[in-house]
Amino acid sequence: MRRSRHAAHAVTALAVVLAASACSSGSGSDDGASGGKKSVVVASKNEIPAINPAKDNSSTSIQLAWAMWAPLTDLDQKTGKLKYVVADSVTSKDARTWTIKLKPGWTFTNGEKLTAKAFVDTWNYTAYAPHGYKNNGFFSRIKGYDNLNPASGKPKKTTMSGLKVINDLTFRVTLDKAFSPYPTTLMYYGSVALAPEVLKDPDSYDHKPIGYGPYKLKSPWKAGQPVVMVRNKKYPLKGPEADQLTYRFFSNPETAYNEFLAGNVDYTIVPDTKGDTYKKDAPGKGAVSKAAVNMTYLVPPVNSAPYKDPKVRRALSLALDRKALTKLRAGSFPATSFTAPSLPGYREHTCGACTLDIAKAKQLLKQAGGFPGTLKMYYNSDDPGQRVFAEALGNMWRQSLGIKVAYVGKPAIDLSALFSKGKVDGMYLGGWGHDYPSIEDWLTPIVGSHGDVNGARYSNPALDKLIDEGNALADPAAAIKKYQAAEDLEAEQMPMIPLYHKPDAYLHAPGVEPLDSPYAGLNPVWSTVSR
Amino acid sequence: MFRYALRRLIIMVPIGIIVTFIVYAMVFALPGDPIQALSGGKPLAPSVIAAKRAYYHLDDPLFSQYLHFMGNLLQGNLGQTFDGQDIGEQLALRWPVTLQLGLTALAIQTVFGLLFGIYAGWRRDGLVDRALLGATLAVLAVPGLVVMFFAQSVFSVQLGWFPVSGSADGWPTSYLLPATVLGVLGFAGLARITRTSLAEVAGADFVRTGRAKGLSPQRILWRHVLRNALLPVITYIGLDLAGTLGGAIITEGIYNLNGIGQFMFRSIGMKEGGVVVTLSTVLLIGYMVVNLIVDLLYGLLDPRVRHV
Amino acid sequence: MSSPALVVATETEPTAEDAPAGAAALRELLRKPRFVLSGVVILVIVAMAAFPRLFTSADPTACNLRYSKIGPSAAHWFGYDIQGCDYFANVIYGARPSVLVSVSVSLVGFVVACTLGMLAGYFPGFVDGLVSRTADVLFALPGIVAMIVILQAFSARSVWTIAFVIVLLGWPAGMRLMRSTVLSVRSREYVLAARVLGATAPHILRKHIFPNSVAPLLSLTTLSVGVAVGTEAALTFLGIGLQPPTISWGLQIAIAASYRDDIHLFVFPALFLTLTVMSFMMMGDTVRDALDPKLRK
Repeated sequence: MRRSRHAAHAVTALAVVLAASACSSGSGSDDGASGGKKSVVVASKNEIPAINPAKDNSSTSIQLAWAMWAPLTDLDQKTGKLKYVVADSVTSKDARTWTIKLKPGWTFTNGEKLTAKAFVDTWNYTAYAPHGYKNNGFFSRIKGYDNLNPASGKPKKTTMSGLKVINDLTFRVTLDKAFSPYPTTLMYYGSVALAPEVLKDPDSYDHKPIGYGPYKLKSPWKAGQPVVMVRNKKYPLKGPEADQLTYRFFSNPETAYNEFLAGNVDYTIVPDTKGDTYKKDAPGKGAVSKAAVNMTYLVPPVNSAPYKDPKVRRALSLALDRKALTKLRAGSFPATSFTAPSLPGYREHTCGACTLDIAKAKQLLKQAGGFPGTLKMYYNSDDPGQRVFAEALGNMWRQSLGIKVAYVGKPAIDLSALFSKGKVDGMYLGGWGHDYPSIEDWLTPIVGSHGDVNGARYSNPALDKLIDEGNALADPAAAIKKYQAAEDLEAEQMPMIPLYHKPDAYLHAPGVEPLDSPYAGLNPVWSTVSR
Repeated sequence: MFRYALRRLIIMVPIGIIVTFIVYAMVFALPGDPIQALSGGKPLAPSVIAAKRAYYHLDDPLFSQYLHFMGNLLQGNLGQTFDGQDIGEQLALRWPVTLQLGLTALAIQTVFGLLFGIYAGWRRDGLVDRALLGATLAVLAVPGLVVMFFAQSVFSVQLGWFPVSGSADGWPTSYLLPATVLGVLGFAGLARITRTSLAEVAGADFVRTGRAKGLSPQRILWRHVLRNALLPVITYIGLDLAGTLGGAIITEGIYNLNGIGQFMFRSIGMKEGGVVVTLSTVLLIGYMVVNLIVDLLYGLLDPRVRHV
Repeated sequence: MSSPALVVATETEPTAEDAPAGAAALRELLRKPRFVLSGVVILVIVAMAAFPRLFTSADPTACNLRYSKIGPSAAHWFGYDIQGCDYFANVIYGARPSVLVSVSVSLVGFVVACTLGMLAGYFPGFVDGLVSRTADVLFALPGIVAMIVILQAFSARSVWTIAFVIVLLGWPAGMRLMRSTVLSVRSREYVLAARVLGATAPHILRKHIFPNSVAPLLSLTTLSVGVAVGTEAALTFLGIGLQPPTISWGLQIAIAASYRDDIHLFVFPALFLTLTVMSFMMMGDTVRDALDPKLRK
């Protein structure tokens, strides 16, 4: 149980709607800004209940955290190698006990020092179940987590035994089991520290967070209003270029798109419905991120007939024309493997059944005894795009393999409950985006037994064993070999059917460019402003 | 008449209780798990789910949940949404948006609807009448959804006459376009009802009698015809006022106005029984008061309708 | 059992008896070009709904995603839809659900609203209280919101589900309109006279109240034909309407609303829909004019 929400059906909605308003006349920053002339407005899909990445780890919350906090570790955007930001070092001999040293000189915007204790207290607070913090699961690898999250009843403890403060700037984390990618997981903004002042009564700080990032709130945020941020003078590193950063909320991506065309907004994601036309609507303004950190795939109900037979799953996969399907998803491209491109250890074309081959599909299906009954295709009825997509999939199976297809549209709230209970009896569209750059994060959650999003309840001891072996190897290269072996096993079994990757596609006004790392995707907070 | 009004007011109480319970039960009966959905499809830790379910009393039976909610509501405690937003705060923020939108639309629709409807009905088969019939046919025959999208792309994006979306520019700038679209859509129905009703009354015998007596046409129209023709019209306006919110859901979505409609839609999606019932209660009271006023106006406009 | 003679057809208060019955009415209607024109269009649309194969030989479900959204051409008059299916065939086949939804909603809605409205208007007290308060309850569930809640409870939604929900929540509007006109008609002299002469309630309702108070409801119903199809499209837009593989104009327009740049996706179903709705309204208007004794010159 961990981390963020590159939610199942939310992949299409990774939806950073970026927006930069025409220089809002430098009323700007009450402190720190050099003139306060450069203003960037970043609009986002959903309004959030609180600016607190531990309490609410929705993608919008995490984006605001990009601006108002700083991560322990990060990826170097040129090399893709791990680098330290707030942490000075994260080390371990056995991949199980990790020592985290912090750099001196970091302070919260209220003047309090950022200490090891702040981290330990925040993590304990988050992991304590009765607090109901959504990022709770991120800490489930730490020893003593279970005591704070008993199967039933109130927990007897409030702190995890695996967390220990060594001195002002050093703390030690002991995990339940060895886990070699641990330092990379700390780049997730759900692991940041809350100020000691906030921890006394977090709810009263929902709208006036205290962070230590490049920006801070200009004034307390009011629900329903944009979030307006100005530079944080106390930020010890080189800050981003814009003096003022604003997040606006749009529930409808097309609305944001229209705001962009009207010139009120400088960045916007390209809605799927505009995939063909955005180049005409907004010439010269389009950009597609180099990174594709997500994938949309199909989850077959692997434990029931006829999907139980890997041959059937391969046949269903072979009958799909992924190239044509990507027409329905702006900026997407077909998936040929089970992990995300740009990850260390990613190999192209590991999925043998991911290229269109109807003859072979028919042959496999025949060997498996055909497809009796009706194939149920589930889709999220809250999302019109998903209905269109589901129908396209169904048409291919119906026409290429002669399978009868029924469509089951359900609202997300219903679908996610069915899925997490393992009660979906048909094909389901899943989506995933990794939280830390390791192909392990594409295995354990999706096809590992008891994985976070393993809603089909797939279980393969051989695959689990390979993952565990990889986790225990402190040498990243050796670990990757094991994970790759697991991926090859996946290719034989097809417990998931990869469909496509969709890099963040966005439009931006002249003179404003978001940071685009080939490893982490777009980051609007670190925009280049040249106007 | 006073006793009639009082009786109607008293009967609102049981209806209110029935409606709130039905709404609560309907939302309760919807499939799905709101806490699970909070995580966006990726499971939350079971311990966190349990903690949240306990906090929101989600594991209690329907009746005790309802009583708990009503108890809090009567104390003025609206509580929080499942994702932690303060409901009272959200309502305070959103009511003005929906009211400004709805009332502006209603004003546009009433003024134009009555004006054209009366004129067309009075001068039946005249030029205005025919033009109006054509125009209302066109408006009614194109789905509102399409009109809204088109108005947004033409008048805001292409021509730049209005803000594309949002309520940042305040009233009236931000509300003008969506309210006009809503108003025009409502206008067609109102104008036709007015026209039909007026034409009907205008053909009645007392009008002929009036003419024969030598009354001026103006006097006949304003004193006699309108008085009798307005009953269905007032009913229609009353119903429309009550239905404003329904229309607001789609309008607010397309024009990104953070009003009650959006909140309602999202709350249904998230099984927020509390929010849905609170909003329904407000609407219920509003609707009943409007209805009562309409019924009382019947008595005033048409002496033959007596309230006993 | 009441004698027909009791029908007090005073010169001041015409009754249904004055209206041309059956064949005569039809003959009069057939002389009106508006009626004939709308009638022909409706016949064509109904034929389309009943026998789509008369109009196209193409299979609406033969799709190739690679042709997605290609515009009209000589071979494919309406081009291709988003799924790469022949759009002409799809628009033809789309007539059926739209016609079914709109016609069943109007018919059933009219009957329900008319009956209950007459009862509520004619019998003050208990009956009126029951009907009006039930209407209040239903109305208080704000229209589209209640539809969303109810429709979400259905896992499989068909034309009939949608029609059922629209009628369920729509009848109070018509009922109140009917009731309001009945209220003013019931105290007219000819009704009083009929009652004095001993006519039974069903007789009075049928012979006196109904013909003299139905016009506003009839014109509301002609409007509701279009509204029903629009509602279906709106529900589909919100994700709780018809589901694939159903083919309907509502679904087509809802999808086209998202792909506004491919104008042909919108134009054709919208055109057919508009034509249908206009014809129904024109017909409704002329029929009402012919039936309503007070409007006849």
